[in-house]
Amino acid sequence: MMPLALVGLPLVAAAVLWLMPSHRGLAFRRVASAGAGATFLMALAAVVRLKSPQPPSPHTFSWSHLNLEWVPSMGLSFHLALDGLASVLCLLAGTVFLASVLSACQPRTRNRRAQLTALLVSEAGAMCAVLAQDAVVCLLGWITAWVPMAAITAICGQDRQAFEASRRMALHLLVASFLILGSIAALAANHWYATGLWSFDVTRLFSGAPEPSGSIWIMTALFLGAASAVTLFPAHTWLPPVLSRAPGPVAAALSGAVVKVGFVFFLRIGLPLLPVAHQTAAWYLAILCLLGIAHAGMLAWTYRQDLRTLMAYSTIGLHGLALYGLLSLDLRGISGAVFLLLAGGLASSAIWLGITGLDERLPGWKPGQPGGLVRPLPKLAGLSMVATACLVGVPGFAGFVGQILVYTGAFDAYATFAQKSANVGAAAPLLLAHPKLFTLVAVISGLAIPAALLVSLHQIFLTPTTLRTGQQPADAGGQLLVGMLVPAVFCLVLGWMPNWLLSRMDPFSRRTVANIAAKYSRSATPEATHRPLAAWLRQEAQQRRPGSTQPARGRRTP
Amino acid sequence: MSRSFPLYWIAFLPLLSGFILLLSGPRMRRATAHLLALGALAASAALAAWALIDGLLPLVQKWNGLPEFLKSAARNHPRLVDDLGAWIQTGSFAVRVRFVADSLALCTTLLTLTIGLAIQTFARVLLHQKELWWKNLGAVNLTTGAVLTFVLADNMILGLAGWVLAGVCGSLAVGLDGPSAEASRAARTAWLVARLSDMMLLLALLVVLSYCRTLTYDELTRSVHLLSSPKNRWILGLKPVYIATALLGGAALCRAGQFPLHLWLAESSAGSGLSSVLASSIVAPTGVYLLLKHSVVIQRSPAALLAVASVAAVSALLLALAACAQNHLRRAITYLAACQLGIALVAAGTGNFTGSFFHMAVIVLSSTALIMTATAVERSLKGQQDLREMGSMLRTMPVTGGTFLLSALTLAGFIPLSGWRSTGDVLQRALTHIFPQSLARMHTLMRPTPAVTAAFSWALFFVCGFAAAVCAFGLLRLFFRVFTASPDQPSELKGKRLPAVLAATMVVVSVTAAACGILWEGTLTRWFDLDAFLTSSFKGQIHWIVRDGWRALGTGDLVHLKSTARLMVTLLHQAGLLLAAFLAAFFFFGRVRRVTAGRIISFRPYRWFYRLLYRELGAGVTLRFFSERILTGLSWIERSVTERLMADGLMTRLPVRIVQAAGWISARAQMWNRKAFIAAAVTTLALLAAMAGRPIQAVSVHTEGLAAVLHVGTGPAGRSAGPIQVRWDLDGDGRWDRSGATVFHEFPKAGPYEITVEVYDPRFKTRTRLTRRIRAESRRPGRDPARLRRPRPLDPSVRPPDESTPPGVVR
Repeated sequence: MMPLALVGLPLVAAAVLWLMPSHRGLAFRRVASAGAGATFLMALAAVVRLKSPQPPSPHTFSWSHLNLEWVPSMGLSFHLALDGLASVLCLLAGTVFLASVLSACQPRTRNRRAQLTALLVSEAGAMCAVLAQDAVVCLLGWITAWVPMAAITAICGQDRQAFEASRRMALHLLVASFLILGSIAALAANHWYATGLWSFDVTRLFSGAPEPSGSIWIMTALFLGAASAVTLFPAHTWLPPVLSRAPGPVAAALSGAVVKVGFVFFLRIGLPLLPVAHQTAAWYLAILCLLGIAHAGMLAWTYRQDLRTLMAYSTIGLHGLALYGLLSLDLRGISGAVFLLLAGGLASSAIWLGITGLDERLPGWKPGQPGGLVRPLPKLAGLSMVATACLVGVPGFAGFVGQILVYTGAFDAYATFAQKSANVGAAAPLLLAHPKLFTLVAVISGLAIPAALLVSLHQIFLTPTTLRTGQQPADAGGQLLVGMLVPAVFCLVLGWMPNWLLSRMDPFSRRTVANIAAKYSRSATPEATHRPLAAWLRQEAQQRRPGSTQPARGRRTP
Repeated sequence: MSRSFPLYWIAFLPLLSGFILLLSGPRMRRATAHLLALGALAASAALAAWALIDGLLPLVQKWNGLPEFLKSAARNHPRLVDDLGAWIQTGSFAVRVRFVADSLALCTTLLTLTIGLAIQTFARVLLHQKELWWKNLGAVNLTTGAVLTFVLADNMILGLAGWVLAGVCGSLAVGLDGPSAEASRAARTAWLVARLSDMMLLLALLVVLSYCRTLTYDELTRSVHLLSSPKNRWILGLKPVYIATALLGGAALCRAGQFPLHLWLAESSAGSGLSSVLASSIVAPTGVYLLLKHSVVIQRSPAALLAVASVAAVSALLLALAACAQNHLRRAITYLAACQLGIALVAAGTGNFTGSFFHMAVIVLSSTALIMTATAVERSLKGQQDLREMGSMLRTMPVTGGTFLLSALTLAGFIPLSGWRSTGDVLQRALTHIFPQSLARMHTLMRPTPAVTAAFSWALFFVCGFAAAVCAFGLLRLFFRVFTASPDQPSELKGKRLPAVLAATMVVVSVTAAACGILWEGTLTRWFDLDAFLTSSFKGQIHWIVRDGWRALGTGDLVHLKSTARLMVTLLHQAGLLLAAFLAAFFFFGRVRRVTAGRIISFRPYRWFYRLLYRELGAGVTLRFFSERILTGLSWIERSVTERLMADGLMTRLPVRIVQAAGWISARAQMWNRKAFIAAAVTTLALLAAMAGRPIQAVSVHTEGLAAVLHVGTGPAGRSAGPIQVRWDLDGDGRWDRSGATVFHEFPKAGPYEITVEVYDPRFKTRTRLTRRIRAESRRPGRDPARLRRPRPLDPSVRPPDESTPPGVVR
């Protein structure tokens, strides 16, 4: 029942909130805080309970199940399961949404009931997407997570351009949803073709049929959709305007949890079901990730005077690095990517709440103006700096562990990629003879974002202040303080004791790697998987060979 | 040979106290906070001392008693271990929180804690009026704890964590040290440079992990050969060890504040003295320690190390010149400390790890004392930091002046203080040990001719020597300018006496810095067995070429060898000191005639150099100046003086010449300032060239029982004139027994022997002889003479000398 509780608790709280009379301000806060708090405690309990070293069955890698049939004729089921990945992402979503809800409970929040309701509905959707084992339910959960965010940004945005930003977000994510749906449908059709049964359950899709013919195109559609969902370069353009104009708690939830939940499309669907296609295209995807990291770093440095935009680009860069680790298909890479997402989500939510606190206390503030805020706002400054230290990867914080795992995992894995994709027939390794350089480039590219973040935070908190004696703002307290404290404490605790979470994630990562390897060995024949592309490449190679008897392309017979 | 010991607390106590101070400092009383900060460091230091006395020294004594074959068979040197379990673990990849204290780590720990204690004592006086005093205290302890984590770490990831944390805490300390915009900018610069060095260390870690499959230093010793395996090639055919060494060297250069990334160190002087001393004496030296800690990796790539050493040498020279142009007292000292750190990096880059550590220790202690005295002077002048407004402070602050002078002389390398020993060792080993081999290994990049080899080694030697001399000048300039010269505005100078605690701290640190060289050779080396530890693998490979002159002192049979090998370095250093003393005398002279001194100062060739380097580099006037004046004068003086000195063989008249030259320069300089200064610089260069060009640079004898390996280090051979020829008379009968630069000989019986070596240099057609007395003793058990006869070379591409070598030809 734990998966159902994780999805249901925020939904119930949202429903109660929506049905309450509009003048009950204090009750809003209590109900929303109770709903988010209970969900957080449930997520924490889920992680603590997850102690079993091995999953019950080889292909499900999950412990706690809820499987309700939804549309039996189509094979749709409400299948939720709690495994290593889900527990970690649930903890992330629970913590981030708790912090956002607490921040939105403050008296000065505009349109508070709408914001709280949207946050709770979005939390339920995020939990559903994380826990779902059915691909369609996962997609529906994700849509439920982002739609309230877009709506509330349009309603409660900071200026008139918020509506434009929200519309752009909706457009991007709508297209992404269709692309993901199309690729899921193609995978289900492949399963039906092989077994005669319709199913969207990931575990059945995994064990039912080998990787379909032309899987590279399915992977492309899925990747394009998921890239928009997790704001990868070049489909990242909707995030900075939304985060710049959304209310602070919404930006915290969006940046800290909703966008990161999109990674389940890679972890649940893309990598396990299409391993050969991913390995074939890993080069191109890795280049995209590196471009994303470098581009985000460049823009982050450019916008270091605008902390909101800077935070948006740091999120984009972090996601590029996380996907880079995931694509390595290495145990360290996968564990590190998930850990990095967790650390980044916790840290960015705390920083966004810090920005919200500054907005409330000093309207129109900028880095360096007024500056020196560590004296009047020591708690807010301290927690913001703790979160920033986590985000930039200072040792002792969770971000350092995630970065180390991703870098060490990816450094060697791309050499293996080169061999595997060469076997399949892709041409990329011919162009890139030094795969380890990729990680070196990633490390170097990742230098700009921490530099920009630290420079910006330094200008805000540590430079000489221009505040006069009578202008001292009040320090963070109450809900805002608790909202920032919870993720900051997790950042610190997970930095010192990462094994507490890594040991729970390890079976999932190990099983994922093993299953992908098994699927790869079952499917990785050019004739079976990449007929159009491989055949075309082979034909081209034969034509270039001297003395070839193949006819030229223009005179080719059907 | 290891033993368990709670080393964790040594690093954890400062970290914990730092966190407590940062979090709850405002609610604590000042006395309590100071007690907590000092107490944590003192407890940590006591624990480290206990680890040394009760843990490590018995092991070292036991180790020293072992026969040689058991030592070589043992896996590790004596060490203390503390394993706290896994920190990061996924699959088979595990990073353990494991601390290890060997001789090197424990020495560095004690050194760091000594400086930390001095800083906290200093802070008690310095921070009594500051608002955010608890943050300064916390930042100092955090930085110390982070550095100790790096020092004691057993694997590269834990070391990286300590390294990154040290950079972050260091920049935090710099930023918190004063509310001014300068401190803020300094913190930002420090942070950016720290991230750059972090990135390089992370990349080096990835390279090592990828090929060696381990990050633990213990296991790295066994698998490090994979980094230089011919199978593993990277971009441009480079071996991974080249990449790893270059990255480690880059990280070390960044952290040690070398040009052009020295600004973080220089700008740290913006706040009070706390951040300066913390950055210069605790954070920046970790750059040198990084190379020492990874000596097992970097010694496999002498070519990349040579590149690091070259960059460090040039950087040291530029920093020394830049220091002479500074009018901010503490800023000038930080420049000079960075210059000396560059020289320590040169030592590490030339494989002289012991000398590098020793020089680092001298720098750390001396620069701490210097910055503390400088801060005391500024404090007594109510924050005045401009050198031009200072003077005549010796009357009112005699203890401070004396401490400053002692530390400056130590760092400058004045005989017989520690700096003389350490700098001399660095320069001597730099020239005689590594470079021909390093360049021979650069075959993958280039094929060096003997001329290139000579140019590299001599250029490096010149640059280092000149940097040391300019640094000496800069230090004495500061002393004379602050303490003896007459000020511009005498009425404003109101120096006052220091608190006793601060004065005592300064004196203790300064005397320790000056005297550690005296203790070093006898006691410290024997206790810690540092030399054997640091150069164990290195020694096994190159010891057959050159006997380690440092340890030869203890045996008593190589007294002449020592004096010969150090002659050049001693004279070189003396030359630099003479020049420094001469130039500094101008400032002393200015006390009487301010106007004259002002004119001289207004020219200031160092300022000209500074402007040249920073603003006008590449301009036509620069090229003309170099081509027409310096090079012409240099070549003329070099030719005439060198030929003359070469004819003298061992240059017995050189000290007289130096004194004469100094007197001539002094006389000329009083009349014609500009050209005299240029002449002084050119003459110094020429003298250095002359001294380095001797045909016999060092003779080393390595004996094991009756067997001996003899080597003579010679100057480079001219390409057209033919190779240098070497002959040996090994039994004193007047007949030549062997030929070649390196020979193996087995004496018939134990006893004293007189050996003579003759070197013929075809360039100058000079024959130089040198006679030394050595003692052959009966064979020690456990050593196989065959092992001595055929030592394993560093690299398969470098062949040891064999019988096929034509007699008398130096390869």
